[in-house]
Parts: sequence; structure tokens; C-alpha cells
Amino acid sequence: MHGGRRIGPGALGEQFDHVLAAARTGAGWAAERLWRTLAPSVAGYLRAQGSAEPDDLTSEVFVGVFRNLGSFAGDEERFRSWVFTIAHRRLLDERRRAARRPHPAAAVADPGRAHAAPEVAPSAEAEALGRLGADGVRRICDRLAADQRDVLVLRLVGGLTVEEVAAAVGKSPGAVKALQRRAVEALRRILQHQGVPL
Amino acid sequence: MSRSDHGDDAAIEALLSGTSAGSEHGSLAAFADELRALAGGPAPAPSPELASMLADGFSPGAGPAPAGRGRARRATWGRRAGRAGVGRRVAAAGAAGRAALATSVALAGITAAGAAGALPGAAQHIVATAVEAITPFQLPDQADDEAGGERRRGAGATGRAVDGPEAGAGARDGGGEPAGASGGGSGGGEGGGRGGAPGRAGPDRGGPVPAEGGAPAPVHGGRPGDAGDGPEGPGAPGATGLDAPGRAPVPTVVSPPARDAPLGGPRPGAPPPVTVPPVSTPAGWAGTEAAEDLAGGEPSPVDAAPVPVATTGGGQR
Repeated sequence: MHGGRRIGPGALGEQFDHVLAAARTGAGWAAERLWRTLAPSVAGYLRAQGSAEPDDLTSEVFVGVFRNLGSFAGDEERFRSWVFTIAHRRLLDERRRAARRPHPAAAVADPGRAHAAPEVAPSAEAEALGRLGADGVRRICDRLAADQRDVLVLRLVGGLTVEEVAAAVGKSPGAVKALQRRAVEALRRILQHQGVPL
Repeated sequence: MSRSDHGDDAAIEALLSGTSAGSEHGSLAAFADELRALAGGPAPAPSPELASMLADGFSPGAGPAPAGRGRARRATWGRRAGRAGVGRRVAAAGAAGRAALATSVALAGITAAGAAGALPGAAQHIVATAVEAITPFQLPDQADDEAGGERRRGAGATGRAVDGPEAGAGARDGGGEPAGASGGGSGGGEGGGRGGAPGRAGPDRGGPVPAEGGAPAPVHGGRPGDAGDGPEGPGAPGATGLDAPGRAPVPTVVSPPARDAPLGGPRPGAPPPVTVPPVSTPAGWAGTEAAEDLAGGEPSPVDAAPVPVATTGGGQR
């Protein structure tokens, strides 16, 4: 772990600088390395946020990332933060489009509701406890206020720090801390209401 | 903020960062773990556009970054002004689009150079023929000069010079060309490079006209044997047209064809050609004096008597 953030097992580590430099020249192989490193997290973030088409939106995020790679400078943590900032923006754009053009499909009736079950196995603990699962997690997230959910998911799925979340969502670090506090409290009530022992 | 808030924040921070022991937060920790698990698994299938970028590479632009550190702002994805936006559009245009753009730019330059008589002989002949086919103007044509003023149209009224945009630098007319211009071409068109719309040639057709040997013609080039200004200035005597950057364009001596003018050129005794500025001439063209200055003072045999429109009446049509 580093700086209050969990570094995923797929992080490039020492190879990041080399891969980034190659990607900045347009090398497809380097872009694919970056894609494979971060795309699962970005897709998971978008699913948790109830994106209607998380896979397509993930691709859209990375197209934007690669096209603007010339403007990025920083280390792997900063790159991750930047990618999730783009992802968050794209998600907001998708929500606005969905709000302007209501889709007749029931799955998209609520822009904030996810409609596709991710093919992710529940954790061993969840399996043992038999409580939540991926769909359950998303349903709980849907019950949070949008800004609380944004903060919570960016912290947990994106692995961003408070400051990075603040930059991504356009709030102060203090506001982010307040939001995550309220989010955790809300989660506690929801899980309690569902009969999940705390 | 109260001490309890601080304590809560620390506990929450530990929960969200994954450093807290599971027993401390029970199902909250389990929930957090399950939420993180959504990020597991393989990457989703990329979209066709992204797959192409990953497979074939891409042109990373220098567009504005989205929300920077410490200050969130709207992403400037919608910004279209400026070179970065143009660069992104070009980069996003795809290979075909970029090729078409490059071809158009090169063709514009070749046409301008042809108007100036700045192309090598074969290329100049091709461009001159193409322009003459669709405009009333005649461009300097060394091939015609070498033939004694008699214009040749080889096999070339049809399918001359360049093929479609796909030809790129390769189109070449295989027949009827002056020495050095035929063969060796990269043959972008069909049948030895005579493809393209029959009977038409011009700026809307295809790629740059190649110089001898098949290489793309330089935009700024002196003709062989010219005592000239080097690659930047048209070295041809009485050279005209596109010059080095910063110089005023040199007038091209062209003659609008008379109705009964022979194909080969002006008849003996015909009025001298009229000096007509090239298309690219900006306002304030200086006139022949400037042309002579830039060309080193040697009048061209083609435009032997450049006569400004304002100073003579005989040669104007």
C-alpha cells in the first residue's frame, strides 16, 4: 500500500515510466499495457456507479486517455488518478445524456442503476457469509446519494486518495472527507436494515 | 471538527484504504472488499476504435488534460479551437483521411509550383497540360519549348498525370511524356499510370506529380539547368510563382489561348503573352521588375516579354 491507497497487483511499478514514454510516442503495445493494467478497475468503477454500458464507456475513457497522453506528466499514481478523473467525467456525461433522452429499456430507466451483472466472483468472505455478491453491492451503492457514492467508489475501486478524489469530483478534501463519512454511515444503516450483522 | 470526528475519520480512512482489520468493521469491511472486487477480472473487450489504436498505434495529441490536481474543472473535450484541436482531428481522421489531407496539401503546392514554372521538366509539362486542359491559361512548359513551341499532347489528354487520391506519390503517366518522365514510376494508377478520369486533370485529381525517377516532385524546385536561387526560389529564368517564404510571388507569364490559337503555342507574329499573376498572388504584386530581381535578372524565353497589363495595350487579350 502506498499513501493511503492500495496498489493493485497489476500495477506496472518500475516499468511504468518506460511504458508511458512508449505510449506517448503512440506505441500500441504500450497503450495495451496501460489498458490491461487499468481497464479492469475503470470498468469496475463504472459498473459500481451504475453505468449503462460500462465496457463501452471504459473504451471511451481510454481513447480519451491515449489521445491526450501528450499532456500528461507524472508517476503511476498520478496517471491512475488522471484516468479515473476522465472516467468520472465520462460517467457524468453518460448520466446527462441518459437524463436528457430517457431510454424505454427498463434496465436504463434509472441512469444510476447498473443493469449488467459483472462476471466477478464474490469474495471468499462474502461467499462464506452468503450475503452480498456483486449485484448486492451494486444495489447497495444505488441506495447511496450520488455524491456519496462517487466518493466511496473512487476510494474503494479507484484506489484514489482523498485529495485525488477531491480533484476528480471538484470538491475540497474536507468536503470529500465529510462525504465519505456520511457514506459509511449510510452504508452502516443499509446493511443493518438488511439484517447484515455489523 | 470534534475529536470523535477525527477518530471516525481515522477509522474510515483505515476502512477505505484497506488497512483496518476486518473484525473492526464487520460487514462494512466485507462490503468494501466486495466493492473492490468489482475491479478484478480481465479487461473488457475494447471497442473497435480502441482496438485499432492498440493494434496499430496512434497519434497521442497534446490536448488539454482533464481536471488537474488540486483544481477540478470541466474537461475540455469539447474545445475545438486551436492547433491541439486540429491535431486531434487530424489524428482521429484515420489513415485514409490523413492521406487525403496530405495529398490535397501536396497537390496545392505542386499546382502552385507549376504555375511558377518551378517544377522539373517532366513534371512541369504534366502540370501545364493539366491546367491548360481546364483553364484558359498556359503555364510555362519546358517540354513545349524543347519541341520548338509546338505543344504536344501525348497520349495524355486522357488519363494524364495523376490518378485518384489513392495514388499518392505514385501516379505517373506512362506515355507521351518527355524523356525521363516515363517509366520508373510507382504506378499508382492502372495501366502504367494513366488512370483517372479521362480527359480531365487538375487540382482535384490525386496526388503530387512525380518528378523524374518517380519521386514526388518538390514543391519548390528549380528546373534543371536553371541558374537560380536554389531550392527555395524558383530558379528558372524569369521564374514565376511560388517563392521562398517571405518573398512576393513572381508573376507567371501565361497566355490566355485565343480562339484560333494553335495547340502548339502562339503563332509567329502573335502578340506577346500577357503577364497574368498567379492565383496565389496577393494584392500588391510588384510586377515584372520584382520577377527579374528574384530570378536573377534573366528573362525567360517563355515569358520573353512580360508586359504588365497596365503598361501595354498590344499584348493583352
